[in-house]
Amino acid sequence: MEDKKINVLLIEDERSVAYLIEDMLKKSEKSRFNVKWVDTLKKGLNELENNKIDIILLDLYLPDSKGLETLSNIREASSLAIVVLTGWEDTDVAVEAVKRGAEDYLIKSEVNSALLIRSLQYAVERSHIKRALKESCEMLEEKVKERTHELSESNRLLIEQIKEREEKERELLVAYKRLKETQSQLIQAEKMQVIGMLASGVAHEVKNPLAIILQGVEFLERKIDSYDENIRLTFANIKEAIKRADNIVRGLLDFSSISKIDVSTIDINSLLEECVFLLKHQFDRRQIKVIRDFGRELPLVEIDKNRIEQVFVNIFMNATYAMEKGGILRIKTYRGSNEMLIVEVEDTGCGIPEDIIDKIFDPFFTTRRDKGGAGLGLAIVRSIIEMHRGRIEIENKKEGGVRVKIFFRIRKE
Amino acid sequence: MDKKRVLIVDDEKSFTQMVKLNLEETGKYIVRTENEGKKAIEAIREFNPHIIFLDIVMPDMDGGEIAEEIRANKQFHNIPLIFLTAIVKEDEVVSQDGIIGGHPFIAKPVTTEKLIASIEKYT
Repeated sequence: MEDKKINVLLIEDERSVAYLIEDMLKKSEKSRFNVKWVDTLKKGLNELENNKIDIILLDLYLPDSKGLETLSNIREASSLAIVVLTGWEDTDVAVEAVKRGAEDYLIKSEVNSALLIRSLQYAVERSHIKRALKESCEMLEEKVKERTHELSESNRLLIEQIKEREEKERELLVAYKRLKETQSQLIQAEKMQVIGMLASGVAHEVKNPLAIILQGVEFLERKIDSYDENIRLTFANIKEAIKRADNIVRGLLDFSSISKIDVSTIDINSLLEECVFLLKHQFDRRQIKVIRDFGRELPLVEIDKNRIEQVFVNIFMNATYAMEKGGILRIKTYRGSNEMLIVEVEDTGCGIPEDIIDKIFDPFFTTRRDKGGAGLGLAIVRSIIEMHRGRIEIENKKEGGVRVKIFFRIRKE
Repeated sequence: MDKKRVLIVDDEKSFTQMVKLNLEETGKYIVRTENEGKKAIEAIREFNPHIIFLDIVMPDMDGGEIAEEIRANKQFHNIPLIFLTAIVKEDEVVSQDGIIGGHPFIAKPVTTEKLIASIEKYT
């Protein structure tokens, strides 16, 4: 720095001032300054563009630019250090210029060699420091930017990873659910298979003894004093028990035999009508009113008429059991989404206790064991519907009673 | 009026005993019982029954086989034959008193009343 000359661009329209300044600078120690003088802003800008300049000594009042505008014009073109030359009368403007980025100002009438040189040297130094500062600031900013970028990048990655993980979790959950379903289906299938295998064996082993007991009871009944009330009651109870056991075996056989269906094309409304007719006596006896809410022009379904009749009769009978003191049985048919035909059966009965609602389709689960129920009705119903690749849902209604929904696949044209 | 001869072939000895007792009680039937399938044909020859009740599942000889033999025999093939069964197979559950191989069948357990009704219907 010591050996290097400082190139000064002097922009000053007053020739005398220019000469004076040039003189002061040239006289300086070892003459460290090269001075280039121009008298208009335009020329100054031209110099800045074409020559190497270290500092600008600037008169704000030039023929082609006045006041602070001169400063901003120069600033636009260059970031070099600027020392403003000013007259007494314009010191306010000069002070303002410093506020806006000039390094210093000198009052023309007071300027002397030492002051000028010091001011210029300081300005150059400050400018260097400023630039270094600016550079390191920029570097810092750059680094901050980089780091910010890196951070936001890693943040983005993190978010992506979280998203991925959430997605995976969802997938896992779905897979888990599917697994659970498959598992319960497998258990169900296995149960069915075991039941199927057991059924005929059990039937043989149970029905034969039952046949013997029944024949024996009938014989005794004729031989023993039938005027004794207790003996009559005993016989009646034994025969009732035989019937119950037989019903269970019969249900079991029925349940295990649902391995094939014999389909034909059926109008579901007519079939429901037939089932209602079959149970008319039951409905009348319990004062159950049947409301039909049948959809018009429903598509046909391909079903095993006898089996599905068995399903509807079972569902209707369950509803009548739930409405011992009368009520309303509402049967609705409509076309659902996904090519499904839906039969909805609602009663106004006592509903299903929540603690058993999950078990109602289990084989041998019954609430009517004392009345001869084998607990196979709904198990059979579900098997039949599943054989038709349909679905059954049973739920308690909020307002009381039960709603059964059966979904049938619509026949493809 | 002559009593009707009823042959019952069933490996369940207690069952045949009880049925014999109950039917003979009525005074209208003479009942012969056999507990082995292979003795059925011999019994038919000797007893010349009006009607045969035949168990399907027996250890030594299947009720179906016996029925085939009876059908093939010109002497016996007109004797009414009713299957008795404790096993109701898949295709037979629809009605409990359907037909197997052209013969009616009765599911066990069975009441005496029903046995009598069958005898009267088919003889």
